[in-house]
Amino acid sequence: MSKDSTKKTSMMQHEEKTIALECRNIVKYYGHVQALNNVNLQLSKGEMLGLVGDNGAGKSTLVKILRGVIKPTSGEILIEGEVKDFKSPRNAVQQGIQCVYQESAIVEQLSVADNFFLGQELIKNNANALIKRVDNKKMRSDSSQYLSKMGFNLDVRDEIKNFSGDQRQAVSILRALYFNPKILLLDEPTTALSEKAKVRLFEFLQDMKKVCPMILITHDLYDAVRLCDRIVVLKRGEIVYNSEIEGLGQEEAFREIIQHF
Amino acid sequence: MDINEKSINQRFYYLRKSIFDINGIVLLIAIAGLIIAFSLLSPNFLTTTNIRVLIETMSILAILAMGEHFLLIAGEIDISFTAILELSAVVAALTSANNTLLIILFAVLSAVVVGLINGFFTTRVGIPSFLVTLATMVAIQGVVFLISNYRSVLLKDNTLAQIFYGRWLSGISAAVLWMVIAIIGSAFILKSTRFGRWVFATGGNERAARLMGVPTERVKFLIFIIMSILASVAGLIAASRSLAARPRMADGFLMPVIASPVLAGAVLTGGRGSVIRTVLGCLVLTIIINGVNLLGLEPAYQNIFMGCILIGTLSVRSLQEGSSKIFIEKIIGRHRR
Repeated sequence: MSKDSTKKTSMMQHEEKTIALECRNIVKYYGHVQALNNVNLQLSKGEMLGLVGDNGAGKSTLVKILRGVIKPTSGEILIEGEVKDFKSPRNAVQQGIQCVYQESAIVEQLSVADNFFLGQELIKNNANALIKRVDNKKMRSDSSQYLSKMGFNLDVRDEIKNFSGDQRQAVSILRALYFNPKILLLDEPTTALSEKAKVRLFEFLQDMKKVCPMILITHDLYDAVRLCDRIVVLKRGEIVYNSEIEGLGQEEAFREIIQHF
Repeated sequence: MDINEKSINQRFYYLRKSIFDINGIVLLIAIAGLIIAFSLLSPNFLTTTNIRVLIETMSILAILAMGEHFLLIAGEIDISFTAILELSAVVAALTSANNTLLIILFAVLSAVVVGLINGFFTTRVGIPSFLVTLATMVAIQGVVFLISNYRSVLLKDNTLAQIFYGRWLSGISAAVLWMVIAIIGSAFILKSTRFGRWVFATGGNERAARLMGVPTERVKFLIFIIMSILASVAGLIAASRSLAARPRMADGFLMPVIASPVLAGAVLTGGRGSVIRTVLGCLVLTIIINGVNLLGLEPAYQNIFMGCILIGTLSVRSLQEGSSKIFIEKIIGRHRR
């Protein structure tokens, strides 16, 4: 291997290890109940991290903090090295956090295109600050093109209720990726999917993680082991396991992690 | 050209979709039926003068219905608009300022205050909007009684009457132009602005909308204010028409204003509505009011006809859900849910 290519590989490895998201000493109290205790977490670029744990382990609390729904009692969140303070879910989205929800966060009465851009509608360039005119034409053509590029040929003007659960979930995942997020949170994204659709989704996510680092929040350890590079186990608000599983077979990884539940 | 590009290029897709759904078809049939029936019963029905009267009568109803339509789409309801209308009219009549703009400002501001109260208690305190607006309706009616001293108050400002009920372009009443502004404005907001999308999303699935970053509380707050401004404009038109304002002057509007968007396909759970169909709904109800007046029947018949039209339209909508086979099964009572 030439000197140049070695240097290039080392730079690539360094870039791969660049931290996309860091949670520092996150503590959360609900009244007197401690939901999270000193959680420290890092997500590197190009990585998919599985956040697993039983009900009440603190997964939802951590996700709510990352989405800007609630604030931590103490601790810091850093995105690409910068400390961030999410004032609201909208603010978190503006700062590069996108989320795919268990129930797809879909409004059935709206069209596919309107759901695709829900909360992040494309505004016409010449729109004034008060009356924000949406660019319907661009929203329809962009969502249509983006969905068909990913293999979903949908008439984006149709109400989304006319489509299957798989197609709706595809819309909710692809809309999150459309905006080039810095971090993608996947909150139990496979709950409503068939096994076939789940496999298709996993293949798709494996490709997409190179573009956007992801955190998969799931109670299904098998799913996490199949898909993720690293697993973090939360138990009673604390991280009890945090390790890369590369090199381990799925069964071996499963056996190792299950001990920490 | 693939299927998506082809369909995107089809023009008037949404206009066709608005009118030619079951609610639009039922309303068009109802309008046609009423026009035929009343023109057979009264020779004065299809005259230019009567059509002008009919459209002018519709103006206040349509302006109020536009506001209610916004609220129903967002999953809320406002029944205090009758009191807001009366408050604005009485405030305008009582204001002794010589400046017309100042009078309008006071009238609109008094309405906006009620809208803010409705918005605050619905979104911040979490009381259902029906109960909040029921309470404000009763309270504001009390205020109107007190400030008007239980009597009619004459409107002193002629310019105000000209602005809201004078004859403008080739004799068209200003009220009609205000109605057109309200309709076009509502259609523009709902169809072309981000706020319009948020209104539908808030009523369709509030939780999903909130998760996706839509400020649903702010959206609802703003709609209560829009409703109160429209009720205020309606109040100024009503006061300008009779050159006086009095308590209970909006009593007859409660049912038609809520019924018009409901006839048009809006549901109390939110997420649905159409400006074009709401206008058609207003037209149906106004034709009934106008026709009953022309025939010299007692006003009670207006209520009977309106009630029948409403229950008939809602039944067709409810029965139509599903295939034509289910529709027939539902009518003959053999459909299993």
